[in-house]
Amino acid sequence: MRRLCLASGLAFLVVFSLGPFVWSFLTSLKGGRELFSIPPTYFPQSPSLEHYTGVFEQRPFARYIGNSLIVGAGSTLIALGAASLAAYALARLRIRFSGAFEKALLLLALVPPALLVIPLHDAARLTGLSNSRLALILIHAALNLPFAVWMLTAFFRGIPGELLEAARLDGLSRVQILRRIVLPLAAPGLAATAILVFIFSWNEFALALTLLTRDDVRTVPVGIAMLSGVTVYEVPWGQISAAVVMTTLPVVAAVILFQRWIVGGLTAGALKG
Amino acid sequence: MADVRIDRVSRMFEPPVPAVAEVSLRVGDGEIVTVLGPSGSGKSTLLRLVAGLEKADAGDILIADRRVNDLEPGQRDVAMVFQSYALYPHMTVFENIASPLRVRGMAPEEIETRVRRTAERLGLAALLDRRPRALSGGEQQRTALARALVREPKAFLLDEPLSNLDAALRERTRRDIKTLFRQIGATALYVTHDQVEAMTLSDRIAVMKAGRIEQIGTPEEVYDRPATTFVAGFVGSPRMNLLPADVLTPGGGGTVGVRPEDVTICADGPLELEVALRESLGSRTLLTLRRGPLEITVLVTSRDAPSGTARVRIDPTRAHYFDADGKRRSA
Repeated sequence: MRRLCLASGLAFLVVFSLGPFVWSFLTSLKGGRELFSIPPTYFPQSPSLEHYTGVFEQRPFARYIGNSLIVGAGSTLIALGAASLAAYALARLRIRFSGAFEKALLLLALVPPALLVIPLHDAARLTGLSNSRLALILIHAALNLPFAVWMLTAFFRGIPGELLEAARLDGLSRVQILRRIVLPLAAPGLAATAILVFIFSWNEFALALTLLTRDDVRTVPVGIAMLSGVTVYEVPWGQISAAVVMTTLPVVAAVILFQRWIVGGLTAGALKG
Repeated sequence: MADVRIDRVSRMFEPPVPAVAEVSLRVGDGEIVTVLGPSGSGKSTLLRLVAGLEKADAGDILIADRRVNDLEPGQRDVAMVFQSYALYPHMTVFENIASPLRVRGMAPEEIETRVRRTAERLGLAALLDRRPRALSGGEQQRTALARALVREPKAFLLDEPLSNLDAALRERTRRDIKTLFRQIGATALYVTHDQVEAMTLSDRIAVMKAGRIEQIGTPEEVYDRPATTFVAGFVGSPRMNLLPADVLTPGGGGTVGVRPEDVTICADGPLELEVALRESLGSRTLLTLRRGPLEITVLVTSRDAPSGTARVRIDPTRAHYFDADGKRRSA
């Protein structure tokens, strides 16, 4: 009985979460007329890939993807680089106020990014970084930093202290210990953190929308939202759906591939409190 | 190799309780000194102070006549073997052993020669491409030892290096380490809570309790003339009997210590006690005798083990006399 409840609950959750995505997927395969047919069809009668080719041929979708990749990769690299240094210090060095620092980081992570849209927009304009992907890279990196530090700290704490002491006796410097011992051993943690940071950047909308107004620097989420038809009244649902599917699938694939480590990372150190 | 001098070194963790209090100890060139003590006695902290993993709050640490208090662990030219071995799990045995040499920027051919020679010596030559996970406990232990040996350091620091091995392997490794250290004339500071290890391995033993050294001496000195009741009770197995002194000399104060093998059972013995427990050790049997609050353990040959009651005699010339504060009475 309990198993049945659990199973049906889970089934409901899966259907509920997957629903919009499945609907997008089905829509993306429908031809032009079928999209608007009444009553609506659930399964495409004559599936076609015209919208998939359409977003590349009629829209600068490849450019959006490129922009998103640049922003995502750039912000992930910066966030991880800075976070691994901070996390190593928090996890392994005896520093005054490190406990307070850690808590302050968590508080920072709670600030809703939407609050920052206007001040950041002003800041970007003042520094001449409006419409620059660099601005978005830096901001995404900064917003993710608390989370990345927190997550990597948990991973670094999981590395036995005696290993690092042995490395100190071997004569490795702090930086060498980080590079040759800590980072290789925390590779799964780095991968998991990188994916989560990248996904944040990949999906982030509000800042990308306000900071990047020129079409050639737009990222995928903004690009999709800006897809419009020939007239204001026409919404190109087919192409929007195709774009959504194409931006979601790689992320889902990555998460499935790394889910063991992502879950491990979020719960690492949880038992030691 | 070189000598290591610890001069009135103290280390507080939670002041005012010192983990190590004004400890002085010298490990001579080519000498093996064991620090023996129960857990919490500060023996590991003492070792970590010499390694540089802890900073001394007071006192000096000298390696080869050079004060090293302010040097990083890697600059002190000492090698340490950890209880957990602390092998780098993502590196092969070869890379593990080579690690301290690589850091020093040694030429690859030289590293290759030295790692192979050390591995040969410790029977690891066939395992150089394995990762630590694929090794047995004994092999991991030898890899940790190899990583220390390959550096040819001024001194070796060993923190309970045998405690994760099973009994048979521990005994063999103990002998191997002693032979090896003698061959290369190693200066070694060796921390253990196992008094058999300390007795068999060392030139001298320093017995520690609550951050202080209770006694330093050769294994024979520590065994034959324990300086305090603590040392008397800690060194030697089975444990020495520590009895109120008036058992032997009526009216006398303090404590008298007598080893179970120095108590004899004989029909005209002055003390009569009941046999409360018999523990067979094979050819010998350990008897626990009791009368009221008085408890004496006696080691007898199994053939002669009595039951019921027994009369015992303590040889006064084999007894150790301690004052009320636990210090050995001179004489």
